[in-house]
Amino acid sequence: MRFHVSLVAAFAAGMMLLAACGGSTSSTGGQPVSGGTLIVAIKDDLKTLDPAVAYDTTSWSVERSLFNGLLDYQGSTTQLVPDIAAAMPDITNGGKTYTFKIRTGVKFWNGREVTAADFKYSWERMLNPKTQGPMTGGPFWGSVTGTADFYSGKATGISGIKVVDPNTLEIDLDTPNQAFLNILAMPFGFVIPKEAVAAAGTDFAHHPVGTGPFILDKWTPGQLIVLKRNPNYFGQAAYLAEADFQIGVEAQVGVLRLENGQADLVQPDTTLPSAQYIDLTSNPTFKSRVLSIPNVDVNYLAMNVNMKPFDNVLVREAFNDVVNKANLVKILNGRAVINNGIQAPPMPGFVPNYNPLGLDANGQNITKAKALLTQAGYGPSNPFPAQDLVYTKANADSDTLAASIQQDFQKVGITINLKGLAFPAFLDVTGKPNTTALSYNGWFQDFPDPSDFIDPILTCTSANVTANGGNVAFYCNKQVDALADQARGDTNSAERLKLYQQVQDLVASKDFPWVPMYSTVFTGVSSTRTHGYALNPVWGLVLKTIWVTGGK
Amino acid sequence: MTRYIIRRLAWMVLVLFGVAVVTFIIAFLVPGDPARLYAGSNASPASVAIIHHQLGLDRPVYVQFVDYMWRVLHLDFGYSYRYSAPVLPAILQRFPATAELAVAGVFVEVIVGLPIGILAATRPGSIWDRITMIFTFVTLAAPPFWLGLIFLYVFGAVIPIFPLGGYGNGAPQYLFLPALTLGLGGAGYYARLLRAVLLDILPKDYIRTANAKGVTPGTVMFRHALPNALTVLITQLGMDLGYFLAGVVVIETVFAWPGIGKQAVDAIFNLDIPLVMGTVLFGALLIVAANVAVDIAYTFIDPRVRY
Amino acid sequence: MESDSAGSVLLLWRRFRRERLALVGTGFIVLLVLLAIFAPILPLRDPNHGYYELLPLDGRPIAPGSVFWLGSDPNGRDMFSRLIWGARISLFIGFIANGMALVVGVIVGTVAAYFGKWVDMILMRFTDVMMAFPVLLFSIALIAILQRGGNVLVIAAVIALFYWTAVARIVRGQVLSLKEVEFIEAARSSGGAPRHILFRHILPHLVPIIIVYGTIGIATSISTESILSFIGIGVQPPTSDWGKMVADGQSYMFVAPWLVIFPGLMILVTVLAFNLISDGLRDALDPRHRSLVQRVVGGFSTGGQALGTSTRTPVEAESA
Repeated sequence: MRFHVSLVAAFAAGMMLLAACGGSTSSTGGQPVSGGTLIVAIKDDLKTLDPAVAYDTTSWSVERSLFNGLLDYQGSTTQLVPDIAAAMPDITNGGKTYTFKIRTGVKFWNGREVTAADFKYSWERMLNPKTQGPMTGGPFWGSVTGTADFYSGKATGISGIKVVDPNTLEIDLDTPNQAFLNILAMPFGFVIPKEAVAAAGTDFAHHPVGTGPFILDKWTPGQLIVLKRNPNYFGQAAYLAEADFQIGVEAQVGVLRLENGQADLVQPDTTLPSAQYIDLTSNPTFKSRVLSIPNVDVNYLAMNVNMKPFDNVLVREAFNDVVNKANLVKILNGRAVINNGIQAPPMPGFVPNYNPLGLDANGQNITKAKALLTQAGYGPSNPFPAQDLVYTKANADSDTLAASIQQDFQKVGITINLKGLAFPAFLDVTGKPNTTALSYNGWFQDFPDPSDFIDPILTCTSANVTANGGNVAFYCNKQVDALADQARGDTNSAERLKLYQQVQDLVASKDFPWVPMYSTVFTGVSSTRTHGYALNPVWGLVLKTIWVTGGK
Repeated sequence: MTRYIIRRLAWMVLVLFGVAVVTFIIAFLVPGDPARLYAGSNASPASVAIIHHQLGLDRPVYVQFVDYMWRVLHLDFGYSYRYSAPVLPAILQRFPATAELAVAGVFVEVIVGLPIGILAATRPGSIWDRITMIFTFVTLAAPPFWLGLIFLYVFGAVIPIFPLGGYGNGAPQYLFLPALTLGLGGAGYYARLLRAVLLDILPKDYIRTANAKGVTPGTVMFRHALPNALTVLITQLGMDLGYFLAGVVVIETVFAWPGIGKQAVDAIFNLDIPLVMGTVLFGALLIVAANVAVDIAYTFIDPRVRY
Repeated sequence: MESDSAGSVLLLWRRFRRERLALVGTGFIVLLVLLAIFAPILPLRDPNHGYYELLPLDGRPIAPGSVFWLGSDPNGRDMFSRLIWGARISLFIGFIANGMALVVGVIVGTVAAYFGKWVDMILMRFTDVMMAFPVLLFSIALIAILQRGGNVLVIAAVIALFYWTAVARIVRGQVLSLKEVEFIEAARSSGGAPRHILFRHILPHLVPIIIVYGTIGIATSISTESILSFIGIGVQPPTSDWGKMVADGQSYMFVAPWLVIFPGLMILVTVLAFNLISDGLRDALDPRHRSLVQRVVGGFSTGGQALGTSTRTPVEAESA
């Protein structure tokens, strides 16, 4: 999903990547104690807790504890295991039919038991154009049979989602998709009760009902969200009795409160900002409590291939030679690695030391850039037009990073004007065709599969939108689409990965819709009384494994 | 005097009407189609067009204006894009926090400013006078956001006596630093004002008479001098309260105080125009009301004033 | 107010020279303005250039020392240089905004007072309306709505949009009292054209008051502008002024406090200097503050905001 520059969730893929790699990922100590209230300090209020609509890390962090889906990721791994499903599904028909058995005894908060019909209802609602969710018309659920008719209004339901009996759910796809189970495990697949939606009127977003280990007890907009333990949870009960999300807390204040014991977690869905990281690693008590895990993300500049001057591939290639990526890593306190490709280090199929353009240690080749620009026709008589760099003002780091890039382009005589926007406005202007020429983006995994880094952001289908696109370069190369389609259903994983590497070559060494810059390392910290806090590879925050000393 | 009150009320209505007009014009100036923001970022052009019509944005300006005035009169300040809820209730929900801070701020202004002003007035030219002068100058000039940050740093981190911002469910220690920051600048002003007024009053005949009669200096001050001086201050204080109630944007931002000021700033960056303009309107209402209240109160306080 | 012809300005100056604090303030401002004007030719580092190569590997900003006198920011930019260049912006906006406010305020106040009746009524109601707005909030909203954050003139204009009201009131009060003075009556009855009377007789008497409130106004404008920048609606990167520097340095408060302390201190001292100057001017105009107090007491009949607001505007900026 798209996210604020340098604001990244703890999404790291890689079967090989577990607690051992690169620093500890969990803070244990002693026996879990039941009870207690966890204080979490976050900056911005949630927009919605409606799983059909929410597509940002903060909302997902909280949703994680309120809802369940068919599948979940086990512990701290990227391994999928059944959640509400009784077992992993039967996959038949050449990968086109998934049959799930639903567990019995799973109850919504209102006491009613979950059935297969609830899943059909939840997903149809989620994909219904009226709900205005981001999955409607998108690539993830697009292969489910009957979605096209559903979107256009020809059908009132999705034929591919079948309720065989109250405890059996069948899903039919038009074409096989190796990542489909991951897609089902996204929060969009969470199940909700129809009657609660009806009762909430238009405001299910603020009055959600789910099945999760925690219940939404109170939401004072702009101030406080309170979660309380669900005593009737079908799985293992959470330790914490309560979790309070205090809203409006700036990162530096949040970290201070944490150090003083007034908060337990700070912005758990995003990495620590630079200043706070420095602060914590200078503090002997907390230095060891800072956890880190490599992220599955790519941060890049996107150039709109349909807008001048970026319609010229020479210009785009030139831009690839200018950015000083080492400086960006420095600004992020070394919590990042230079990345010249489109896949993230922990992702299977990642090509190490990928440097098709032969850039130097800083990621630059200024002479080549100047030569390319001259070749493209720019020079003293035809100066390169000033460009606006649109970025999102997530935190203080965003401005710092953008300023560094601005300075880099001065070396080739290009003026960059910085345009920082709030995240919703940023999504708006970059997602609309022919609006933004140059933007600073970050994409992190929705799920740990390479297709997630191509389908939603580099294919022709994703370029063909009127609003809210993920493909902000509006890049379209039929070859890429062909390779992606072939790879999606390919059951041979070695072959699949090769196909994705071919896509990377097309994008990063031939077409250049992007300037890939770096991938980040996620860091998080917890207070001294918090235990069981782990940086989860896929979810930002898993409350149910956390307990506090003394259960207070 | 009733005539005066009625005149002031009429003035209030007129001014509020003007405020509403200006607010409407500004809201109308917003570039882009409000319907788009209202419909949500995922909406198709077709649904945006429908909402555009639903919101009545395709009607002529004067019709929209009349509709707007009508709605405002019925306390309908519009619909917030971000909260998907009506504006006025959203504001009212956050208002108590601002009110608390506003009252506390005025309180600090008085508690700090008055003693200093009295002190300076009773010892003109002395070292105390100098010190108070320095104090008032510095507090008046210090940027409030900076002062707030310094306080947070010193009293929240270095010597952790006070909490680091937030509301804390109304516990008094959370109110202390924000109120202090808010009130200090004004305290300096009031100290100087009181000093000036007292310096003018103290040589007057009735004071000299009281002193000559052997009344203790304390009583002279509190029974004779101050009450006359205070009439000046009270009016100003009342207006301060009005301004504060309208949302103390800077303090609320620095201390993460959940009032209407912070809500409005967040709304601005979220392009939630109805909420912003609703807060502006609400704030103007409070300022004007405070103005009128103070004027009317003044007629009771100072019987010499006649309108 | 003791005033007569424009020769009172000379008298003003002579009295002002005796105000020591005000002189200190003036000295500081003169120095600051000179530094600001000549910044481009001073031997300063480029304020917008980040010396990333000098930053340590963990990106920590450099503390004040021999390399960077007042330290560096997270981009490796020289804070000392930035402070001086920031003065250019802060002072420029302060002067321009104040200038605009003065011009509009004097015009409105004079016209209202001189022509009286309906003109006065309409203009004063309009002034009341503009005064009713929560200044800061509305400024922020206006700039955001116009999407012109970063345009120095727009910022100045928006600041001026609210502060001309205070000037208008004062000027109106002054002109009202001047109107009654006999020689004006005489001039009128002898058939002088209004414009003639205005320019020859009335405006010159306004000069002292314009000077005093102009100085206060600069302090207010600079103060307000720094708040707008702090909120994030002022100048945009890479341009930076003091308010923005405090905002940028906020998150580093506990790690690199110099990022916040120095810019804020600059604002404080600058505003302080202007306040000292205006105080000195006021003292020079009227050594015993008598009319000051009278206006405070008597001025409330005009709606309670006359002098109160105008001397108060530095504080208003904070409270709004």
